[in-house]
Amino acid sequence: MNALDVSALSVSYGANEVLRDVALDVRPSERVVLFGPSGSGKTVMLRAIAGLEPGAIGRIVLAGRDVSLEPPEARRLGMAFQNFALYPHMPARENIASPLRAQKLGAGAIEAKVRAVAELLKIDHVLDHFPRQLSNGQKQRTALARALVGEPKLILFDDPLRNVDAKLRYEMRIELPRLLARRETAAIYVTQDFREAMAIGDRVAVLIGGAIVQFAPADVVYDRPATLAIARLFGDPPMNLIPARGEAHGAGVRVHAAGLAFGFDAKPPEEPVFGIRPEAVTLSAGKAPGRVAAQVVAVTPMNERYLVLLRTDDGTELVASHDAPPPGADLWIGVEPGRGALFDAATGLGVASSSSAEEIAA
Amino acid sequence: MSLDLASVSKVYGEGSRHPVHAVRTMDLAVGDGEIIALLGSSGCGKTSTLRMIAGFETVSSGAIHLAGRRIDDLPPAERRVAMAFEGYALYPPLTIAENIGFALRGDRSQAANAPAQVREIAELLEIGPILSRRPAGLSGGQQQRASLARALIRSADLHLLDEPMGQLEPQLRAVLRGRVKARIKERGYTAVLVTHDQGEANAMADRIAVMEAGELQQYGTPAELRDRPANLFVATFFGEPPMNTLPGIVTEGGYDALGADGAVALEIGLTVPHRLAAGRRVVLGLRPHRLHLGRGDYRGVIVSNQWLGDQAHVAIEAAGKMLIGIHPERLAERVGETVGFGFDSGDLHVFDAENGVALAHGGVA
Repeated sequence: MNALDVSALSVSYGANEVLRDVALDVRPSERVVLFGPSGSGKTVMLRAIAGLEPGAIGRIVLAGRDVSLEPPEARRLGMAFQNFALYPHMPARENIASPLRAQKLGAGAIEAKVRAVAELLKIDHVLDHFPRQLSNGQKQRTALARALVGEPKLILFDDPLRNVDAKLRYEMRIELPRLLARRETAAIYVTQDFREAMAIGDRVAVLIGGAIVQFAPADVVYDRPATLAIARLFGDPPMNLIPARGEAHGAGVRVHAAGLAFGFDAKPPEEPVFGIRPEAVTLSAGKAPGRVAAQVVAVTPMNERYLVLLRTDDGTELVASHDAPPPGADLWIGVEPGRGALFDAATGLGVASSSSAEEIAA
Repeated sequence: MSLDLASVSKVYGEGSRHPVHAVRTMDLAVGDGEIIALLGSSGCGKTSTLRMIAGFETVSSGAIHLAGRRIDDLPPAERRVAMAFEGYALYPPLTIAENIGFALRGDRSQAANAPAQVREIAELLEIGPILSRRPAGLSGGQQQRASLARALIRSADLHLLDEPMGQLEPQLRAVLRGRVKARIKERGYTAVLVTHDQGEANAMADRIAVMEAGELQQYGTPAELRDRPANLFVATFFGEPPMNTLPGIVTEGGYDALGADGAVALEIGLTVPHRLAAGRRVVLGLRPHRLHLGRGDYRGVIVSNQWLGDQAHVAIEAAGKMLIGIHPERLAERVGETVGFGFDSGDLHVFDAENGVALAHGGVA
């Protein structure tokens, strides 16, 4: 039985349709990331699942139970929002226990549950501290404990690490999936950061303009983005997207971009765009078939990788990403076999993915 | 042109009972045509330093020279510094084109072909389509790019850029960073960037000055900060993900990493002996990119294995601690399985346990 099944969910504010006929399923213990630009409807979707959008139309089934008409408190979800906000006037213990107060539990049972989750999160020694006495990491763990304490089958996270410093964010990126797995808790996790999406999500649902445009395992979204918009958003640096020319060639299409040619098993798109990930752009000092001349415009290192901005003779700019500096200023560039993608700018859709690409010498 | 800060200090509330030392005796030399970054978290002193160079803040002691000219007692307008600043706003009644072109007004040699120059810099920064609009109603990223264009369009002895690309849309970031860097280098501008974002500093700067608590912690190339961090602060501040650290102790033949219980968890032998006294308490450091997975003398249990599209981030439990390793390909081992790991002793960093000062890089002092 799925932790969550959402079907035909729509939310409108007046004439403005914020969510349009959205469907989403979350399997038991699965982490689904809701990824999209700001204003795409991610938070509204979480609120609708939680029962906080009175105008929502659609069906929400939690662990087999249709809760579409139930009030928020009857849905028994865990929730954690941006910055993991805490009640400042309550010690950590009371903050963690707050979701249990509505349930008819004895003081002993509450204390036992709070202790267990605090031990799991290694904050059992600061339960009497007020939020102002906690470090940022402890605050975050306290808020997380509060989301976990009621043993919900599903927790909703609304971009909880957004304003957290880089070190903590990195720690939580590793720790959060472990904790959820140990508690066998499913989660929907909202973020705009594609690395966080890949690190945390088993599957990623990409929400753009109120509709889910792709719902697939994280690496599939990365390797085969379904639309141009996803290709622009999912990656840092994102996929290079190069306007191209295409002509029918046998049963497929031959596409010309940046002075190179590629074969795809697809009909010629109206406005072809060739996509290639920066790490799949190859750099070499020597000329060879399937390579084109390019100049290094600038090298801008990123962590321990070198991002290289290149310009080909026809003026095309593209970014390559490698773990060594480029072998000179005047280079020959190519692409790794099977890594190209083809889009149609007229429809915004992906037309053919890497698996069917066959590179042809320029 | 070259910039030189000699023993520059900034004290707020001097003479009061609680003076605040925002910047302490800072020495900093920037070569002609060099791009440097002042990097640190808020309150580290980087903004006070920037404001003293710009002339918005007096120098409490010390001297600032630009192009051989002492500038710390000159008004801002006479320092020949071009600026892009948060709060150094665009003029609301002017269009973006007029805002950018305004920077050329005093310069007769450039004024003649100003429209062409405005168009060129606007295209470089992808704001061509908004040139005729006014600042109100533009996104933060667009305003920031217009402000950057206004600074980069004119030549000056120094370009001072405060968080110049912090609000840049991620889709444009890599390309625009590359173009701006190329532009600065082509024109031979000398530039000081102020940022809290190490990604921006790493991408743009020839050298980075890391500041903390009003003091310059280290000034060096990104490679020097990565491979020879001066202290534990720089070692764990610079680099993403941060350096793995373990408490340790110096032995005759190398180092022992200590587990949480204080027992020896890893024995690290060295082929070349160090000159540190055995028994000394240290902190051992290893960058995640230098921790090899799948081979090596040590064993760890995988606690997390995340594929991020072009690299795997793997957390292992070893020596009673969690260590992070970056693997260039997918790692087949699953969570809970044991994996071999290791590192070249040349990649080991050793810090004094008391004051964090680096004692050795490559394990050998």
